[in-house]
Amino acid sequence: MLVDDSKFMRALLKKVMASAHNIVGEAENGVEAVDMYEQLSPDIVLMDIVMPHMDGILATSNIVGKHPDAKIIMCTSVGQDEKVKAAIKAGARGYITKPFQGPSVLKEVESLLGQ
Amino acid sequence: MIGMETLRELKRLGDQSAEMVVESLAEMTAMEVVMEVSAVNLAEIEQIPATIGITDDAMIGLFVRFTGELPGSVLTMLSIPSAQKLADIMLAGMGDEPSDGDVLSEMQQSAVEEIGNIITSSFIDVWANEFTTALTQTPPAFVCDYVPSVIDSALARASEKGDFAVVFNSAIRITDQGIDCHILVLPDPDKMQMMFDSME
Repeated sequence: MLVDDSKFMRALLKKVMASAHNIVGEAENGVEAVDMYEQLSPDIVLMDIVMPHMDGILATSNIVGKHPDAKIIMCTSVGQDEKVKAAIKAGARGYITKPFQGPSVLKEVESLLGQ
Repeated sequence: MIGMETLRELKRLGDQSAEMVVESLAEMTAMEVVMEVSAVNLAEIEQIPATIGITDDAMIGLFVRFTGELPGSVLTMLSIPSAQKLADIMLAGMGDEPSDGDVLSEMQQSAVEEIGNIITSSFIDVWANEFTTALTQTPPAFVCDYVPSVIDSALARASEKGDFAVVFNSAIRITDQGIDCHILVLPDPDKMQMMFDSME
């Protein structure tokens, strides 16, 4: 499942993931992400941080609060040490900063799916 | 009152941030990116376009507000042809055509907004890490207008608007494509002085 307010980023991530994985849903903000997770129970979530209505850290915290086994990778332009710590504390299992190279995203996803 | 030491420190941090922007843009475009200007000024609001030397008729502005202990704003400005070229490089065939009367298609605008997002993060990540704090940024707000209106619109969204602004100005060029990008960082002056004072 992809969560990003940017149509461009969702298209880019879809292109990267399409070779090996199915995208079951796309959300544009944290509120949608929390609802969509309940409906779809995806294997993995790629989650942006900077989004309207609810940011990705709070959305992660809400999802992991209900589903402790949720596999969420932050995929964001934000690289601040304190935000990385907050995301991990919220339950994120991985952290990728933009701009990224497609293979590094796939590697991170495969690694988490294998756990 | 903004002291000289604060401006020097702002310049040092701004230079680090601008280097990160160059690296990010080079990675995104796989092209050579150079920094042409990296300067800090205390400028009269009305003089900002002249201070940074951009007088194009209309430009695209991406405004991001950041909040936390060191709040402020980042305004990324691109000429319309630069934005179109940069979007097409980023989209690499995923693009669509603009509707009649629009300068960018929906997907092109989204790509350009993402550039604003990544540029802003490059700046504020350096500042947040320097002060061991967290800064929260808004999604980019897109505007296409005459330069003074773009700047005025950005300042109007900032919480503090006075006669003067501290402006960190970076001009970055993607050489092969003739793409120019201006980045203005406008920290809220009072909070900025307090944070720099706390470092001493």
